[in-house]
Amino acid sequence: MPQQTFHGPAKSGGGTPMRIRKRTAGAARKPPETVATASTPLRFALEALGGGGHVCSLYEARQGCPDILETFLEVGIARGEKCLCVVSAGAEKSFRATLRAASPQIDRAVKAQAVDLTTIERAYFTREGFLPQRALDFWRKSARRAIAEGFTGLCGIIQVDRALGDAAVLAHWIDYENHLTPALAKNGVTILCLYNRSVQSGEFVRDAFLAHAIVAHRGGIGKNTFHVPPEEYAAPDKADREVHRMLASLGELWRREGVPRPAAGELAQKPNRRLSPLLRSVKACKHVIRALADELREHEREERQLRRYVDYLTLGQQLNRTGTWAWDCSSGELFWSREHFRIFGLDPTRTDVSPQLFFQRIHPQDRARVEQEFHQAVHAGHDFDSEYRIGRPDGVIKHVHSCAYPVFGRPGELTEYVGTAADVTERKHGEESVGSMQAELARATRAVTLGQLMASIAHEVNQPLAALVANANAALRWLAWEEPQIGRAQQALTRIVKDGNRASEIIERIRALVRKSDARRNPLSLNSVVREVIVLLKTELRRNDVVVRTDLAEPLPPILGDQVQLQQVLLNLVMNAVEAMSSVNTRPRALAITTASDRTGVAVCVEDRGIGLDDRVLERVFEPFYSSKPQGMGIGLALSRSIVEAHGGRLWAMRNTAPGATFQFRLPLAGAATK
Amino acid sequence: MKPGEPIVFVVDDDASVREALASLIGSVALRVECFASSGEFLRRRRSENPSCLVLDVRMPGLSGLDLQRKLARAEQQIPIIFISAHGDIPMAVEAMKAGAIEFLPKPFRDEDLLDAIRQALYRDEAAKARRSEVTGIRTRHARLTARQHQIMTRIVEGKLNKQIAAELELSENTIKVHRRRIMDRMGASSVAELVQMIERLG
Ligand SMILES: Nc1ncnc2c1ncn2[C@@H]1O[C@H](COP(=O)(O)OP(=O)(O)OP(=O)(O)O)[C@@H](O)[C@H]1O
Ligand SMILES: [Mg+2]
Repeated sequence: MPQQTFHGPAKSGGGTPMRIRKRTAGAARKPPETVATASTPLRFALEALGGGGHVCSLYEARQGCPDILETFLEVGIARGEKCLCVVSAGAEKSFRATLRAASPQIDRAVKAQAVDLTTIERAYFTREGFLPQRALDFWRKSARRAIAEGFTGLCGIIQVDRALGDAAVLAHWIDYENHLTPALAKNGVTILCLYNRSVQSGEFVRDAFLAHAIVAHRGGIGKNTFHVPPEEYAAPDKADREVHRMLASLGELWRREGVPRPAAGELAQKPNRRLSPLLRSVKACKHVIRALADELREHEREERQLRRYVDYLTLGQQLNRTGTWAWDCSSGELFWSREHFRIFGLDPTRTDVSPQLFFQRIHPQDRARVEQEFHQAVHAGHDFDSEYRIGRPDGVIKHVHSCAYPVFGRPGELTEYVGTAADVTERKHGEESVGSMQAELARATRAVTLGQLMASIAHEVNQPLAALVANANAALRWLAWEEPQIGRAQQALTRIVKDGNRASEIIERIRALVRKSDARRNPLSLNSVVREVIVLLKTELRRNDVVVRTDLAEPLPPILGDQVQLQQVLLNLVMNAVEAMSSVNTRPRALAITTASDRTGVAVCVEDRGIGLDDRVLERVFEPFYSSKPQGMGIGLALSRSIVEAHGGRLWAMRNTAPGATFQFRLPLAGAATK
Repeated sequence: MKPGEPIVFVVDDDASVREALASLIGSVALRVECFASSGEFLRRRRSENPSCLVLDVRMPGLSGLDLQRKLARAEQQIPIIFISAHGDIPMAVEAMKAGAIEFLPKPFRDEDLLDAIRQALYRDEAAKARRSEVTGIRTRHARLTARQHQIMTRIVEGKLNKQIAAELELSENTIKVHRRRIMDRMGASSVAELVQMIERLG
């Protein structure tokens, strides 16, 4: 996927601000009408973006549609593109009114039919429901039609301000959004996706957000550093690439082509008063600033542009919870970005930042170590990479991860360190709580994994079987003696009967284990079973790059059951789903777990985007010992079904219209389960 | 028990497996003795007769693998055939590395077990014969006098009577007499054989 950034047109790749300006001013495509519009940072960025971007913007009902809508349309219209707006059914009228009131330019375009309106239902849905492929086709065809109609291209707006449908639709939607990014880059179509946060689940909004390469937020626009290109979902070096991407997104601003590096201390000697105090906080980007400062003399517009960069950078840092810093080795001066101050809980207007202040903030238990690590890095001129805790003035303890690289002036002459400080507290807490909860659950439920259960069953059953076979062989051999040993053979045969009975007793015991008496049944919520299993499998899911979306009905009426057994059922279903997706690398490994209830029962649905089931195996999967996996016992589903049936419920499998399989079970409500 | 009659020991915590194995092994006219635990087996007096051990892997108390290690440390070599109710590959590898004859998953074919037992007994017989030879050499060696021992060490080093006589300040004739006595006592017909014997003592 080409790197799309707000300051580099996607097609020409890695352009400098200079080039952007020339391009827009030189007007390769003459706007159909010249309208004097004030250049806002947003407009500037959108113009720079060129065709072929996938932009996401979130809004909430009370603030209405974000202002980016208007700018986005105007930029598209100015480029001579056709604009296609896709909105929820029933919202067309009000949306058209919004458009016409937005600006005279848009109003004219609407009248001239350069702006078209349709609904999500008409554009995306078919009788089979929502299919990602069809939605992608819709944009491809529309772009072709726009060109045929004489436009220079197509720009699209999708406004999602109604619930889209059930879990399956939502999963498909995310799938579609993920694939839209590379598709758009290829076709030169720009699309702005507007999501109303107040009508969608947090998980859905998050997944949608992650699918976009560019985000617009509060009048700013920037590269989405959280975005993972689809081809990277399951790349073996995924983590490395991610780190690389994150660093690149920050580094891009500092290391632009053709910008001469300042000599050591040069900048410190002649501080540019015109730029402070705004810029003091981002002196980390002093290469850019210097380059831009030079241009400032030539173009008065430059200061505004500079501000934009600062805005974008600040926005990016907020989103990433990553601050930047730079330390000038010769002068000893230390610069912190605004976000860096925020992470450290300090007032960003403070001017007395120094390495001493930094070390002071570090937790006493980590201080000596970090100091040593830092001095070692500087001494050797190596990268600095350290994780530590800081105690903030407000008493909060934060976990911070700092990395920095040395910058050399003349060969071998270390001039400064430029680095980041990321707030990783949440991640840390997540790790800790998962660890302890897992241990607790293991203790509380003594949950045996299916593998362990099977190993002990195999051991138990093989014992009498071994005896049985040996006895039968012995009997044959006793009878084969020249003088057949009838008595011995009879004894062996008697033992065979005993062994056979014993084997069947063991199997009966296992079945009884699964059936367990109703006395062990307690009222419980399937939602909590779902949550526990997700926690138990968190590491497993992360290791397999599976993204879980839950949609749990609240409140969910209780059912009567055995917590551990039902955990086993769900554990099996989720592990099967994970295994079914392990070979899938072309779409996100998405898993949806939903709960729902009606008057008679509660249902849990586990839907995956794995290899799926064909009709032939749909019922066979529940047969004991049916397995398609080299390591599989084929007992997971058989056992799960008997557990669910022992609870008076049902477990069944379905094929998805899209890739993947769905397993669902239903249990009667607490009142109904006692018979 | 007749001297030299082979004997098969079975250690398994499962009574029905023990009974079945006793019957199966008995049906090929081999002597069997069964034990319900490793501990029980360890308490039994060692037998001079060729023997082997059919051993279950998973048992309460000392497991089969533990017993194998313990016997090896005590230098009580006995060929072992493992039987296991679940085919655990790493376990099998460990057992085979430590010198087991065979690792059979339960249930097993009677021929596989009986073949393994035959092979084990054959090996044990050979090993016992070798061991008893060494024991013989050791007793004979111990019966030499201090002076004879001094002289024998030098003979084995390949020294001539004259050299030995000079070193020990004895007459060459005395050395000759001692040499004949030493060969007699050790039961060696040549110096080469004597050297071999001393080498086997290690
Ligand atoms: N979500 C799924 N998508 C596709 N196929 C599935 C799914 N779940 C189960 N299957 C198929 O059903 C078979 C049986 O599943 P089951 O859980 O009973 O056994 P298993 O996973 O193979 O082994 P184990 O006993 O270790 O669970 C699997 O081998 C697989 O072929
Ligand atoms: Mg399974």
